[in-house]
Amino acid sequence: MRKSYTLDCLTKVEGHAKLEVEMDGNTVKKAEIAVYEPSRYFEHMVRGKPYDLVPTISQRICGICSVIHTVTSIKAVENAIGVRVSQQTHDLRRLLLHASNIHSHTAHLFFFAAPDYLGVDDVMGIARKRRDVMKLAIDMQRISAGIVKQIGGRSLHPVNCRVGYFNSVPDRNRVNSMIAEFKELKKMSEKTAELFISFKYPEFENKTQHLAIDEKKFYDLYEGDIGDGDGGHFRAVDYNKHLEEETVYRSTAKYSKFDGKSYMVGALPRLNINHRKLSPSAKALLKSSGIKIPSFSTFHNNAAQALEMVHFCDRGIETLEEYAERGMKPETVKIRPKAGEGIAACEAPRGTLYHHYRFNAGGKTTYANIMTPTCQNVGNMESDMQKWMPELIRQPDAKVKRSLEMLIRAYDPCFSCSTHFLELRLKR
Amino acid sequence: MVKPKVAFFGMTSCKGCYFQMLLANEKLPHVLGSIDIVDFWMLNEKPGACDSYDIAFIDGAVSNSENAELVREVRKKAKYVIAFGTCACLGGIPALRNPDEKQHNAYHRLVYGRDIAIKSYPHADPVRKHIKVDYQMYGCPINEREAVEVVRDLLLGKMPREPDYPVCVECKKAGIRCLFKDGVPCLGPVTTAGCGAPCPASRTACDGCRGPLGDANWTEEAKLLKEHGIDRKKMQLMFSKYTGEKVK
Repeated sequence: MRKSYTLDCLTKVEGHAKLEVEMDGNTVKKAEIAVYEPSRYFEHMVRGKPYDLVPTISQRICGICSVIHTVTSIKAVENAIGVRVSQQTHDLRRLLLHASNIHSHTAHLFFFAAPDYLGVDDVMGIARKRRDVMKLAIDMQRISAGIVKQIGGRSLHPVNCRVGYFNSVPDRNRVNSMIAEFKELKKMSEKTAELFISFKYPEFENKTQHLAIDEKKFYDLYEGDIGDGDGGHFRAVDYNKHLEEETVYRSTAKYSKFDGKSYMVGALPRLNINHRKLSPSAKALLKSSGIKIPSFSTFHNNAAQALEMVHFCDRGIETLEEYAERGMKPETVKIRPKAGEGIAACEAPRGTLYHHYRFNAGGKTTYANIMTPTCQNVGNMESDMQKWMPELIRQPDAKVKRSLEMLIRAYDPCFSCSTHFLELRLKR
Repeated sequence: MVKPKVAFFGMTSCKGCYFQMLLANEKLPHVLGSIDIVDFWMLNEKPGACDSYDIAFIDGAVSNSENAELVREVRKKAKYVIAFGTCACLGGIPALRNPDEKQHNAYHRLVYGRDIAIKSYPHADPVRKHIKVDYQMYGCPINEREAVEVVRDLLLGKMPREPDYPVCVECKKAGIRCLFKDGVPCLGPVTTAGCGAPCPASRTACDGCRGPLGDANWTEEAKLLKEHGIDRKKMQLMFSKYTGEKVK
């Protein structure tokens, strides 16, 4: 018997996407995702624009990961025109990434993922039935966004972070208040991690390729080669030698492959590849969770997000403490535009993000390519559906839909960035 | 008392204005307690189920025929329509591609390499181009305090007023030193206020994300910018960054 399902509008994800699944008995005939957010053409819009405007435009790709788009874009510009950056600026950018990672993770974990595991329909249900959880969510959102605002000038679409330097830097008082805030965030992150490792996740695993930044010393979001989890590495500048992007007719999102295979990016791959470098408190929590590393259960991505928040709080505190006595110094960098090509990769909350630009001698953009984590994950989502459907098909339609939605949501997808969208069309 | 029915509809944008809204934290429970969110594409399981709305927020630029159809549908069902954020009010960053309207096919091929099923307009439109809008909430992103005030005003039965003064007033109110005094060219004098001037507060020039002020003195602003070494072409880009429109 042939049967098909369509989930026409996937909810509790950012942006618009749909799923199409076709079954012939136990055999999966088709398992596809299409993003139907209209095309946004960022790669075209930055062309002809001056290099210093590129990060300001690119940050508008995504409202929840605007910080990481800003920083990755700036790094790629700097690589192209050869700007040297001070340790203080690197540290400030890392602090921005730590805080924005927590801001994004808490939004996804509490508002989108938690309803699946707390037995409520949506975030309104959490607000009614679990006031404690709601309070935790709102507090973490406030504090983490506050840190981003103090460093970036605005909590969304930061303006203070420029090519080469920061327009203004936090003084000693601010450095110390941020240390206190990261300490408060750490306690809250530990509570969140305990909650998310207590959830009963569906039993499903799919041994696919995982990729994440694997910095030598740190579990980092900002810098480093890309690790494949089996000891192999490639440099961010060689991304297009290893990752292949393909446009498919049904979707405004592009698909990417690593050496011909689909792959996963995000918090779980980061944890699998970097777990030895976790801070002691995060490591202790991972141990108590009973999650075996490496884990290939897509649903563990939620637990991994919660765990890494604890780690990033620790790193935030560590970095800031170096400046607790001396404060930070205002700086400017003189930049002379020149022709060049630059590529940079950072870890966005939902996985590795690549920005790639070329500039002419006048500093105008002649080429841009941006590869968002959700685009990279779409292929892996399809591979997960292929693997899970023969088992799920024994369930009634409503249950199938719910399970697939939970699966896609676990990736923390952002279909507005990847428009380059979610509905389920299921044929049995 | 029957709570007013509020809905949110997403066109083409980065969705950042919603996340900004979450930052109205201590006010949020009060606002949420006094309204009934009947439609929110990002959170609810069953979108589009309602046949009338008291307040409908529309974010994002209208960038294809599906978007255009949806805003027309929303207008029919809603008492008040609020354009939520600069993309909805002015086209915003998505409208940066509008001047290249005629090269749409060429740049589509450049980005995607082939034809795709989802069709997009060669331009990104403000919502106002397609339907009547009752209030324009500017900002990239919006200001969460303004959003709370607008909802409160509408709940009290009065029409909220869009700010009619420039960002300079915000700087004076907050005691922020004028960026021009430090030689930094700024769009504050010609930009609609309401943001609280976070950019000048971090010593970054206003880049006009809330759009041009109705009675701004463009001639003087252009003169000031020229004195600060901004040529015509650069000025053009500064003025049109959030509207995609050519300025004279």
